[in-house]
Amino acid sequence: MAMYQTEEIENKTTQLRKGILELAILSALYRKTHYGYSLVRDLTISEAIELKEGTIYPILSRLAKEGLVRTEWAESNQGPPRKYYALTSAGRKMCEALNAEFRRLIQLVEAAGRGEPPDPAALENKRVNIGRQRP
Amino acid sequence: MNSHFPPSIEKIVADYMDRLSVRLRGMPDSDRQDFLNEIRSHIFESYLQGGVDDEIDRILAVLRRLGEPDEVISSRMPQTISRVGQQRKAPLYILAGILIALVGVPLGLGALGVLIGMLAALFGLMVGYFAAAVSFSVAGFIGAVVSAVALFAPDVIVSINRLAGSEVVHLGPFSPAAAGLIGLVVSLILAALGLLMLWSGRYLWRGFRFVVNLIVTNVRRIFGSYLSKGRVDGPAYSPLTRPSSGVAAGR
Repeated sequence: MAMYQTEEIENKTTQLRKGILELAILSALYRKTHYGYSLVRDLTISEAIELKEGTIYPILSRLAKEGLVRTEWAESNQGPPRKYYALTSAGRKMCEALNAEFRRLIQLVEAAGRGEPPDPAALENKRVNIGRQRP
Repeated sequence: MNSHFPPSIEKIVADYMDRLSVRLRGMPDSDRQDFLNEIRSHIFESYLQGGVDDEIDRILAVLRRLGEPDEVISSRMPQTISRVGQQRKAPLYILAGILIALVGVPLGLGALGVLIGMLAALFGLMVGYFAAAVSFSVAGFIGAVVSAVALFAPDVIVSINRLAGSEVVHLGPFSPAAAGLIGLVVSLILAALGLLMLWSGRYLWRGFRFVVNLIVTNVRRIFGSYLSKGRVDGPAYSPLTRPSSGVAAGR
């Protein structure tokens, strides 16, 4: 039974990470343009959340197909060209909406954990603040 | 593409790229090349960051962090590759859907007999088709040769008939030349028809394989779910259902 639970936990954790990773990518691109590897470093995927770095590329190409990011190949001064990603206006809108929803969900989960009804002010707070500088 | 790596490293990178490339089959060529270029670019950037002195160790660490090709594309699968595949196979899915609607295939294990019968019928149809195609081509070619002989060397026909003692090659009311000309045209048309049937037969073959695959996969899935239901404290997924659940997780 213990084995079963470990596998289930890993499975669910991976799904949760994958869902959030997409939002993390959008948020990173909200601040600035990235190429794949710079995005990886910005997200510090390998250390912070144990996902393989390659996971971001399928997500990026999906975002491109959905019209949320636009892409451009540019020469690098060393090595092969880099593919740069930038949010489109639809992407910016999506990023704002998802961040607002994400915050709301965190409030809900935490309130549920404390056994209190969620703070109504927090639920209505749709203000978005994701352009913050990193420390 | 010119390499940005020393030869020993390039070999490892090329091997990785090959394995990745194989898994991207079915994607449009331009998308695939774009994806491969991007991954190669990533490997280079990551390799440049260094950290480890030994070149081999360094590239292996880069690839380990990047993930195995399967891990890299797994979340891509539902969105692009499988969608591309489905677009190509759409008519076949419709065909399979009609067949299933008519015969009621997914009704469970009881329908297995119906399935096998259906497959046998399909197979019979296919064999018949190819037999017809082959005999058309062969008859067409033989007819064309005989007609050509009648057209260009009518004496040969006459002497064959005389040798055999009866009219082996029947020319009818026509002169050998006229019969040869008519025969040649008809034979060539027949041969062309046969070849055309053979050539278009690959679609039939592909369709047949698709239907077989579809059925085999579904039967395996049914069996797979029976198996995992039967197990009490086994893993949550049976190996047979794992691929589809992986696809769902990546969505």
